[in-house]
Amino acid sequence: MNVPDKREETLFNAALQLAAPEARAAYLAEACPDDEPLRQRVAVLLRAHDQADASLDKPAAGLPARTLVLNPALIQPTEKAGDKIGRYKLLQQIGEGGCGVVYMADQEEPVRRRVALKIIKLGMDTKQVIARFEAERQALALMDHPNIAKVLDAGATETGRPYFVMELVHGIRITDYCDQNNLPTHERLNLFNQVCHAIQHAHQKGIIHRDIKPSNILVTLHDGVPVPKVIDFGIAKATEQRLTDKTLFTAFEQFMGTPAYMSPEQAEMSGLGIDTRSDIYSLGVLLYELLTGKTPFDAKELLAAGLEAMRRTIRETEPARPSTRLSTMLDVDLSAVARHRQAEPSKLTHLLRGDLDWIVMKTLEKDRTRRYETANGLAADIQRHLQNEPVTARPPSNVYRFQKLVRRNKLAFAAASAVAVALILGFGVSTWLHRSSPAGIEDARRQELDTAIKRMGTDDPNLFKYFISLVNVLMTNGKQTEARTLTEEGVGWIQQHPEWPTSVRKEHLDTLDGILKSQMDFSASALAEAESVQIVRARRPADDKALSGALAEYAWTLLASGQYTNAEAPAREALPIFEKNQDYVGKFWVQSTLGESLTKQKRYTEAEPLLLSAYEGANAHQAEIPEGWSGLFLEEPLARVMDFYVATGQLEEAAKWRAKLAEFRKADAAKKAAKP
Amino acid sequence: MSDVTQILQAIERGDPKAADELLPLVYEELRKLAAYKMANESPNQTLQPTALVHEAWLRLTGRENVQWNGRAHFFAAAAEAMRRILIDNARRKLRLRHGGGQQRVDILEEDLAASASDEQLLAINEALEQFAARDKEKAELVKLRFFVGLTIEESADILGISVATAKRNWIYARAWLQAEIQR
Repeated sequence: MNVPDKREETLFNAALQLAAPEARAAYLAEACPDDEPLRQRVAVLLRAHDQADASLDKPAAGLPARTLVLNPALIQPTEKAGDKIGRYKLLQQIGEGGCGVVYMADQEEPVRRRVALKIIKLGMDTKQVIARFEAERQALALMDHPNIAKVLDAGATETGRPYFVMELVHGIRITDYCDQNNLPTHERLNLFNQVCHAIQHAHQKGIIHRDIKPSNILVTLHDGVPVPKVIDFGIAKATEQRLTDKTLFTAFEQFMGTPAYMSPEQAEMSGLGIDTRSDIYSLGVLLYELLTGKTPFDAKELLAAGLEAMRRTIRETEPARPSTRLSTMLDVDLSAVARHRQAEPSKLTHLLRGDLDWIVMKTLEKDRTRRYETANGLAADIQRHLQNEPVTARPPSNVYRFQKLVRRNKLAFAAASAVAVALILGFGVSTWLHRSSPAGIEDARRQELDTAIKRMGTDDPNLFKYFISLVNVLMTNGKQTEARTLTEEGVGWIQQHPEWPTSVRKEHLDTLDGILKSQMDFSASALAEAESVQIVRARRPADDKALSGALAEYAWTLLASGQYTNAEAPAREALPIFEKNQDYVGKFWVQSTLGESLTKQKRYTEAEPLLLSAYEGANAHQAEIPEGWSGLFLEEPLARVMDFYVATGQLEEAAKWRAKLAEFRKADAAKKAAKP
Repeated sequence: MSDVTQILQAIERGDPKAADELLPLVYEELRKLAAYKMANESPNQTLQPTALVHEAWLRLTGRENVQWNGRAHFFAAAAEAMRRILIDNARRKLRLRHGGGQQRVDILEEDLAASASDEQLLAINEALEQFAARDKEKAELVKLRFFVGLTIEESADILGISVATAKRNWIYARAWLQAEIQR
């Protein structure tokens, strides 16, 4: 056969995204039900992939001779039910994860009891694993908590693989339990708090879990009451591998499991400096998932992006706040998430905005000194939220305290937008106004805003100028996170005030949108632009030029924020308007946006002609592109054609377009250099 | 036609014969270069195939600028040359071990083929030939990685594909080879 078998490759790549062998097998069975030979070939490839060591990754020559190539010893020996391992008799397999297989087993001496036995996959140094476990055994024995499953023993199987023996827990993942029982948010929070207390207990005994994630927190029922149990304490540390960059990329899923719960300092993989606050971060990810149904970063996307990009994302990218995350979901997804929490979609978003956003974001701080110091501290803040007391996760302010008081007394409370403004500290009188140091100016701005709120309330659009001055000074002072948060709140504030003059609302939104874009906060920017589109649409007399512009920008931003499917509708709406007005720059730009949206939706046959003619059109109308904008209106359509061919695996075409792109960039750079 | 630059330009223009002329030149240059280095520099050093190929490029084309297009063809030829050097050497050594007379083995080859065992090298090579017959593009990637020692990023750059695609292709190719060798 001389033709590469595309199907085989496609199936292989897709199945590789799934970690568990059963999931892969199920996927293959579904994807090609009636081609047994093909399925078997892919299964062989997957097995080979799992066994491949790094030897092919090293050049054939020039490296030390001891480099192993394709070691046949890596063919995995397998234990099965009925086998005896040490004092334990295996009964049945009850689970399989990234790093091993879990069996239910019977211990016969010194006590008869049923336990869980986890056998770690090959590829680790068994002696080291057991030595590390022994080093922590004393501390592990000191743990005694109803929400922690005890680790009882460790050893090596006859084939030399390490295993761990644990208290057997009959339970399901905490996230599955919550969804299956449609637990409303406050019940989820109560369950989560118990987990925090268990982690706190371990931390007090000097044990860090290092691998907190839903599959390690099982919920069992005791007399009908759900009890979360944290399992696998001590195992992550014992099996920790110092992975090099080279082995890491291929070995990642096998050894490390999902990266979605990994703290920035763990993502460094230096093996240094992991402490209790890494667990706090992972708890934050769990809380995020319990509240929104999603993790801050998608595990598959992280893995697909490759090691370096993954590290960068975990270390540098600010995740969307939980309420923002909900409001940028597709409607169907949001209503499913809300249904699992017995809430109306809009109410759920509202419920998360404010306290819960703040609590989650504090646990997810990149800089661990800014996280909660203890798991109890996190639990206590959640408790405060549940009791309508002020939480510590935000700076205390008079306005905020007052607002809490109001809420507790079940009076009508101010619109959520007021929260935006309520973040601001405000004490004393404004004698600092004339200080010239930046810190002084910042405090003065905070005070001005605070005073203005007291004077005019939060329903006055004139408050905006105080608000934006503070945002500006925060940005100058490098407090980007706070500035960004305030800006997002500002968008919410404007959304809550449809009664303001539309010109004022649009102008304010544009200002905020500019800030959000400069901070690459595209999710929030899309929210602002959605509102802008509505405003422009409502204009009488109709202003279709402004409308097509707003729609095209909105579509672009949706793409940038990863909402590929949502981008299609506004792009399609804008296209004929540009055409009618003979605005070719706009037309071809939005056409390219539309093409990209289709590419991302894998609607390749529709996408290709659109992308090609968009680039050709943009190229033909080059003269109409305003000076300095060729990057957006010409280079981007060109790059998207290349991306299309890469996405569809047509690499020769892609290489052609890559050359074109390089040419364009060179010419463009020369043009810019020629300008005085 | 003997100038490597001219040959590369001919390949770019689509002259099918030109590629055949390139390989022997690159092959010879690599051998000479390695022998020279082993003789004149440190006798115990291990040669880095990547460095060798880069140097051969510089000597044969006189260009420091590696952004030039013909580079892809050159590296393909270099990968093939390295493969032949290593495989020929492994075969010869195996023959020697299985009863052939005692012969002087080239310093160059002795030191180049130090990492994988000879049997393993031949097994990989055989699988790679099978693979190349099915999927030439990915086999090129394997050659660049395995015989020249380029990183994923460098290989992607030379092949004109994205790093993500190169990684995906690499994982697939490696699994394929592994499966073939275990068969």
